[in-house]
Amino acid sequence: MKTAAILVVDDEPSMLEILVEWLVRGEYANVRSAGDGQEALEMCCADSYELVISDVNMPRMDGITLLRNLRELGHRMPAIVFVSGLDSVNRKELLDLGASAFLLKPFRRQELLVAVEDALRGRGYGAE
Amino acid sequence: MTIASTLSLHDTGISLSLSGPVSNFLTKHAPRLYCYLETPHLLWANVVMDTLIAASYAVIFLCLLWISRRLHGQPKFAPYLWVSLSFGLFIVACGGTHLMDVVDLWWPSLKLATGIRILCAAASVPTAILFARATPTIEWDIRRYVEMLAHTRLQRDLAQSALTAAQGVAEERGEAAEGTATVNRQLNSVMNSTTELILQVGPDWKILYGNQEAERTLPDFRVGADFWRCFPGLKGTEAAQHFLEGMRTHEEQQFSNYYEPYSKWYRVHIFSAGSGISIFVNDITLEKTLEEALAEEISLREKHVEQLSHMAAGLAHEISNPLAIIHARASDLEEMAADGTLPSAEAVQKTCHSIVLTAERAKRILHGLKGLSREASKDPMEQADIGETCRQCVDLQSSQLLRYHIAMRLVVAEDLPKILCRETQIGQVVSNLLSNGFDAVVESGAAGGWISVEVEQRGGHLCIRVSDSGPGISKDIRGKLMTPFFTTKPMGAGTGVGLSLSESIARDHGGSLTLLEGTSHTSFELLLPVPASDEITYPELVVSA
Repeated sequence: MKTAAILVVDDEPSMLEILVEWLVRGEYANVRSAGDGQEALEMCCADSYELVISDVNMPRMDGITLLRNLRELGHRMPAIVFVSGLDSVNRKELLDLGASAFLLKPFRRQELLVAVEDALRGRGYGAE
Repeated sequence: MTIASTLSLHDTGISLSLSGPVSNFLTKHAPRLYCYLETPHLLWANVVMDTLIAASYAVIFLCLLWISRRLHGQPKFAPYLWVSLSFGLFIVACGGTHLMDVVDLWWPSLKLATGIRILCAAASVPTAILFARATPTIEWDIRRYVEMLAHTRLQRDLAQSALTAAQGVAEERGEAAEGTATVNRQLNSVMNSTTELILQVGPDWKILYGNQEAERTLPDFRVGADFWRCFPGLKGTEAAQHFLEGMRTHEEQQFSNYYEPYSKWYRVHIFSAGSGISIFVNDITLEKTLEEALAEEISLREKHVEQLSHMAAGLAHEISNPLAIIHARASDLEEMAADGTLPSAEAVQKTCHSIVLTAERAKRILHGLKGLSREASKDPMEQADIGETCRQCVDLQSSQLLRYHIAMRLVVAEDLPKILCRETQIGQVVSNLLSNGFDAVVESGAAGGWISVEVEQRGGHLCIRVSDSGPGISKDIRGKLMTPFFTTKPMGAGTGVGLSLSESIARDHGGSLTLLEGTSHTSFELLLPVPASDEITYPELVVSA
């Protein structure tokens, strides 16, 4: 089992459930979830995480704001961001904020696991 | 001695026999006739010439006499009257001598001839003397007369020229006046043929001119009247500032103005005209009405777009999320089947059920979008289950509400009758109320926000009440809520036709849409008539698959 602490953030409960399930099946034992950016930020302040996997489009606090706030608070963990083709995302800004990988929805389990492994090894998935 | 003479002039054929007292004047020598007997043509030449001379003298005398008589009363002629008379006498005497030369041919009368010649000399000498003395004066008078005549002729010619020129000028003036009148008529014709109101106002604000259209359409208009008295409704308006500015600066002014007393819109163009202004006015009420109708139509369409765009981001997210979930579940099963690691049948069934539920959710979203995106005012009236319609509307918003942690409560009474309506329009009204409620709750920022939809029958009406936990609507704007284009949303966030359109749809259905009083929250109530069972009509058979 892999012990890396991973935080998964999505406002869609079904999607959140699948992502956690995929990571657990990928032998990541320490996976937790948050329903939006605000909740994730609070959890990051309370506990330490080695990787954050987050949706971009969320109420209260979106994925980009979450990353910005984390960096401002000094958190340097890698991050994987998944977006839909309809989301207007400034990829350069995300890269500047230290996003390791972008996943375009819909994606398969293996794509997620490879991205997670790369991020945890310190290699940015799809990074330039 | 008296002799009876018988003269026989055989050669001339003349034979005279004189006797009595006449013979006393006769002398004893032979008549001068005999001197010419050898040459009869000389005789007759003398007779004829002397007779002609005598006759001519007589005529000249008579002419002088006639002139003297005619000019007798003229003061200027008085100094020359004696010349005329003495000259006349001289002429007569001369004629007498010539006459005597003829008489003397047959009747030698030297005494008489001499007497007449003496008389002639007596008349001629004084005449010559007087004439010689008067000659310089006569010459001067004649010269002066001639000069005066020439001068008079010159004056006459000048006068004639001046008269001709004056006539020319008069004719030109006449033509010019006629031309001016023609131009004026044409100008008036043009002015009166336009639908534009044309006024001319003097620097003292007196109305100097108005065309027929102005007289016809402006009841208060009157030439000669004060402009501001004619149009009192202008005072204190922005239009009045334009008029004053135009008169003061003589710069062109153009503006549109709603004139309250006539309830009309006008487009006004002001030009400088001499020391006053010309005003050209177009009645653009119809244009404005059409513009407003067009703007309303555009706004209604924009409202549809706004409603769509308002939810587009969320809806796109909601569509992409079910797709991502379905994709994730299905691809997971596919991989597990390929690896031979399929879980239990129960787990597979659970996964497939999740896929089916998610797909149905996406279907409902698409169904709701279809209703929102089209103009439904021409739809036929059909029997519809309004409770189900409201349920679909809520479903459409539910994901968005969930994302913002806004609680949704839907209460539909049992056994509600179907009503005849345009279901899509009723759905649009409910969606609009939900959308407004969502905005109000999000804007308030308060935690624990909620929206509720209650559907029940109350008497002869179906009542749909949509309430939210927003801050409510202040009393001062409650009355304007249903006014087209009124909005409390920030610039660009709303067109203000949502409630107006919704109210219009309710009225079209014979119902109403009202904001309930006496509640701290916002609560709209849509009432739709429920026809009595024997009134239910089925305009057309609707067959659904």
